[in-house]
Amino acid sequence: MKTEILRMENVITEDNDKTDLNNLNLYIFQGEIVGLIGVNEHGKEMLIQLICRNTPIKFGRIYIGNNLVNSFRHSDGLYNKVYVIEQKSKLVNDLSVADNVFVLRKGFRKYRINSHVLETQIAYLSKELDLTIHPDTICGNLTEYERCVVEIMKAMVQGVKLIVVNELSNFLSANDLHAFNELLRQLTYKKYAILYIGNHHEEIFPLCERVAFMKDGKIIKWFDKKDMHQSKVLPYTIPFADTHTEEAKNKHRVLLEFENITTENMKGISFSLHQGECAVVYDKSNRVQKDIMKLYLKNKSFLSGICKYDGQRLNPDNYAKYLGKEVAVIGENPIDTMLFYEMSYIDNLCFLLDNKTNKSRITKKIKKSIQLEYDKELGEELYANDIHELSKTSLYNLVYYRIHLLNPKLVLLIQPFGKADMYLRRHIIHLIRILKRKEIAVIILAVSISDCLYVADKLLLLEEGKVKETYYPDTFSQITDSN
Amino acid sequence: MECTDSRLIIIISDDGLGMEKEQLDGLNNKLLINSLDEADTARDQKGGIAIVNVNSRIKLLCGEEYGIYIYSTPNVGTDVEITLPLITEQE
Repeated sequence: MKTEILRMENVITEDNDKTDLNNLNLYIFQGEIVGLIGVNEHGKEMLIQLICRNTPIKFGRIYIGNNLVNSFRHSDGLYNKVYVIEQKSKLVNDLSVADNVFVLRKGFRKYRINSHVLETQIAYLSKELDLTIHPDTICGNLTEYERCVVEIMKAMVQGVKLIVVNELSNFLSANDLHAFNELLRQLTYKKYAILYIGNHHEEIFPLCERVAFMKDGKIIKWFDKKDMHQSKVLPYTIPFADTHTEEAKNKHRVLLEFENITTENMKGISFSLHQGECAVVYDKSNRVQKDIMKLYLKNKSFLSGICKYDGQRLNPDNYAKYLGKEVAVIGENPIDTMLFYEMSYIDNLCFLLDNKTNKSRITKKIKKSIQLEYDKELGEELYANDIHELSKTSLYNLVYYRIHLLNPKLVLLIQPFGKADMYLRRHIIHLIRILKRKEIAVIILAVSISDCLYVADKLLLLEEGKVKETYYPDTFSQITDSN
Repeated sequence: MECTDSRLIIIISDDGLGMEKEQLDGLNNKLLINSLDEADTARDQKGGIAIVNVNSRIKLLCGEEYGIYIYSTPNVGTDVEITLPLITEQE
């Protein structure tokens, strides 16, 4: 007989006359990891919010540990004993691990804090989880993985029974994710229930007993362990294949060459990239990717090796000046970090174009001409004055078409599929293909490879700072889970 | 089938034709409430009163929190989830 930790029955919520959750049914048992994959983002935030806090709902009932905590008849607005682990840290960075776990919690009423007691308790918790984290470590110095582990400790000390983990693969490297998932498994042996929210079934299926696919605010399908196969998932996914047959013409021209490049974390990496080609750099530890970014941002130079860019041999002192206009970067979560929401769509689109054209300002005439050029691809959104009103898809259009307009030779994409639902991921793939067709070479720095393979011409699998294997489209199928 | 200390959850699946979204939403909306009026109006239509009828009887006899919910995908199949109170012999 199983014990229910969370039960949501026929939950319907409305926000500004828009239905968020639409007759949603969900239950989680004690000691179980339940996966939740959002086919689209609709309702996901509201679901997490409702699990954490009893805000008014239009219909349905919510039970925590068999107690009715929220219903369409009465919502008390109180918080439930649930902990959410996500990209945004809940720790105070300037305080130590011990202070965050034990002192900053509801019900802690001591006036004198005995640090020795806290250290002993942390040691006990660490032993229970088979970890080593020093209680005096300042939380701002923790790695993302350590931060998540400390948050688990905090959740345990708070006495929660249900932990929600939200899109871990967006901020944990593959190695860290693997270790953290093992930790979650351990927690289930201690009777904790886990709701594991993510975007990829490849990541979620191996870990979970049951997995729900959510679309338009409701569960559309439950998968039991026995049903967790690629073939069974296909009807609930959308095709990502390229329907466009036109390829970049100058793919034979080598744009970038690394020969035995050594940096702090790279140990003699060699690879070449052609014009219009897309290479995925997959490093489970995420360290080499950070070094590549440092090279681009000119914070650091390479220690040894030969780097050739568009035929020019670059040395550690002069390589930076060849980059800049020729290389662009689309960072993680670009719609949050690369757009100016007080500016119109066309002004955002033309941002940095003055550098490219060497003109001090972009005139109305030029903007009109750009609008005319991109009207077919972008349509109405191109004329928007307030980009707040645009959909995520349109905002991604703006980010990628800005690069399209700037026309660099190479673009670095950092985790381009993070925080994107299935429909948005397909759109991002479409946008990357558009860049490739313009003969812009693309390097994707990824900690998860599943979507990258739809656009990749090669995949570099890195381990301990070296290229362990290079895969091409005809050998992508040989990339195994262990990789 | 799943069993908790208060509920019995039975899931029956098929790999048949499934239902279109509109039809499924309509049916699940009818299953939200326990009115038998739906069964009366549906009687005039061609077939299709059993699920609503059974659901209403479960809700009337056992309580609002029990009943039927349907998951379905066209050309893939249908899962019917029936939730009943767990009644042990002693009760």
